[in-house]
Amino acid sequence: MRIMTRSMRWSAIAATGMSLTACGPTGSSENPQSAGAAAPKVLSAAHLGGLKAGEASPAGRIVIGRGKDYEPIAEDSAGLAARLEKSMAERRQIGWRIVEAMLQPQPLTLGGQEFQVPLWHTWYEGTRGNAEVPDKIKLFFAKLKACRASNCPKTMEQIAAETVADNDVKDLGLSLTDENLVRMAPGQASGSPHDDLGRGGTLFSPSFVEHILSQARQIEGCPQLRTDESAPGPSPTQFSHCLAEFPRSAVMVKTAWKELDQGVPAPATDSGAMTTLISAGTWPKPPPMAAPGPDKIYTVESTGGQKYGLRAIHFSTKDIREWIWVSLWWSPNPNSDFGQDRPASIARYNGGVWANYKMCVTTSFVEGDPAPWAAFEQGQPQLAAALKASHQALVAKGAASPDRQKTTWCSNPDIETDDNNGATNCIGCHQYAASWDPDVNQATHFSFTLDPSRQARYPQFSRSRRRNNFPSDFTWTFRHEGTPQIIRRERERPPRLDW
Amino acid sequence: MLAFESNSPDLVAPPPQGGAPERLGGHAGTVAFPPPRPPGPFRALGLQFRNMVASIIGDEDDRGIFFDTRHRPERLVCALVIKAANGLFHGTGWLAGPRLVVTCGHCVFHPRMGGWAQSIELAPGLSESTKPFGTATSTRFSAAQAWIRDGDKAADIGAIHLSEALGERLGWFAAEAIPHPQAIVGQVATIAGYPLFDGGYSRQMKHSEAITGIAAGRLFYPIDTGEGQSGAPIWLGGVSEADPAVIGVHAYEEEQTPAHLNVEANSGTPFSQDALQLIRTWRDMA
Repeated sequence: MRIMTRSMRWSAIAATGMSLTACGPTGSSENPQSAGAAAPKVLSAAHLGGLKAGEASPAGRIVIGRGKDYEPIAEDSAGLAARLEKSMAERRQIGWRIVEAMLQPQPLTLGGQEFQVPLWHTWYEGTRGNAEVPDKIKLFFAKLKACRASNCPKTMEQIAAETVADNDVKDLGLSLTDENLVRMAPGQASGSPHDDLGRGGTLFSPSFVEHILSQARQIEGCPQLRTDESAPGPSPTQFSHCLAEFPRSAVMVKTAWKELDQGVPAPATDSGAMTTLISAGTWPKPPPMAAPGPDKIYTVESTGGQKYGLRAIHFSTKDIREWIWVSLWWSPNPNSDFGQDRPASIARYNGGVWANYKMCVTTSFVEGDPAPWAAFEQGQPQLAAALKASHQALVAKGAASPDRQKTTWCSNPDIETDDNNGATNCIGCHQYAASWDPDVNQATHFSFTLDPSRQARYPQFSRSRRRNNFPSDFTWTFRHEGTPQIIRRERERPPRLDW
Repeated sequence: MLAFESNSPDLVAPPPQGGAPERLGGHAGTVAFPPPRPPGPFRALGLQFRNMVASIIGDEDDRGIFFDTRHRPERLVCALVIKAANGLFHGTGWLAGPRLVVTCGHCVFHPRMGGWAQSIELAPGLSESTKPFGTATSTRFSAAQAWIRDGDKAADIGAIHLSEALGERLGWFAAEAIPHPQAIVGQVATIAGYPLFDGGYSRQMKHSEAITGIAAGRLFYPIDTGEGQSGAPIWLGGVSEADPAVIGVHAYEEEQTPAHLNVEANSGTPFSQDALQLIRTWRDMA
């Protein structure tokens, strides 16, 4: 049972006389945004709080059309993967290109003002808080059951496509609540991987959600799989025994927000900091803090009037079979090290706030570039130094590990904040998604990979490739957001549907 | 009978007829479609999973979506788009007579809407983009006086008066008074309405649970509801009842449940005999 709140829904936008905040430059960090860029506008839901708790909704609506799907890179997947594995320069170039694709502005007019909402922000939120994916699963099964009852000729795939396309708008008023945004503001030092790693807000592209629906029967059975890690995939083109691999347009997003009046972590990622990080394995606790204004960080204002800054975000695209893993974090010195090669075009979006983020990217377990820093030595020396420092520290660590793998690195200082999580590489952890740990005879939790006592099972804190098959195609949402259970619940809801 | 007020001078109460009723009859309507197919069993595709993981993550929304809304009672439930001085609202109503749609009082009058609604467009049996019976628009409303003047939640009931005899074609719900509160505690009840779901208010959703109780003139139940379901019919029985009798209107979510009751429940306005008499009066006025 979910007890909803409020019965009659406020739906007015233009007639409410809401105030939208256009914030001036109040931050203290250097300003890298291009001259002439429009000042950032803060998307605000605060005006919707005018109707306080009562019979009418205080939540209101900020309705925007759901953004289009991601257009994958027009290049053969295998060729792209091979090219990126061998070259950090090409990897980072693609990483920024993906970032730019995710920032494509989706117009939203409120109260006579036009806002530009990034593409990723219009996609489907995961299974907690503003649970848009479970609603799609519920709708899919209702349609599927109605179809079966009338012997309609549609396939599961057709019904999945209809379900995603149907009434495809997003109500940002339900998303920009304090409850939802606080939930996506992981603490820095709670010491609980279950809390912190599991928190943060997930969003998924339309084709990702459509694939979940069309593969619902298979996904429901994923928790029952006990595929040995050494077993090959079911075919040369499929590495999951559970479901067909996601389409190349599929994208997973993870966001971490922070109340702006509490400051934002400002981690150092220069060469010295990277050597320390890789050696220690953990980002510094507590992190240094900064106080950016809304002109320096992507900011939204909640229904309660609180401003939240996007401190970090992951973009994972299925451009290649093992995904491209891109991660951004906010920085008060954004033009140094991991921000030094950021294209100027990134400053075009949202009044330039995205020019305050740094980026790391990985596309493979093993570092295939013998000198990942070399291409940057002339033009971006701080980036080169940071890459060189991290690579050399990783090589040293790999040499000392039983598997001796020379791995990649990409860890977000604002998301991967738990012990031993700072020297990881995204892809390594995600290889264990929806897997079974025979040592403890239970489903793998991602905190297992960070446990020093479990390193025989998860070498190099998961950085090393261990598996030959990937049960959920690298998606933790099946394990940590309960997708199979939600599917089963909706399938069994009367009238029950038997597969 | 409960006193009421209307926003239109042509809405005049007819002469009183008899005492307060215990039941108002429904009407089957004249529109006929092939009967709906019985649900399931569906054909098995041969793949069964056993030992499913038992735990469910997070809260559950137990409401079901009903797409075939051409039949009774689904076609008697109306999605409301309410235009008011302070903006646009969404609610639910249900046919209770030839020219009468009953809803909650706050769907037709609310200080935060700016007083009376200016107009309400209703779509009986709306199902996604399909409006199987079109839409009707009204500018004539009534509500219990205690709701209008005092905001009395126990009197949160209202009426939309139609110029077209929509009910003659589609039919209308029967309605029953609740004789004794204890008589219905623990009985399964159903609410059908048009909540916000997946970005819109276009899908009819139902859910059933056992009634928790009646207190301070309000009916409490753990039935899942959502924004947009204010005014939805509450009937005794399950979601598949073919000819249910409405016993109240849904009006409030959990946040409006008094803390001292110590229950997790939504609430609505139950029908007393006085309320039925009011509905009969509204039905005969239009």
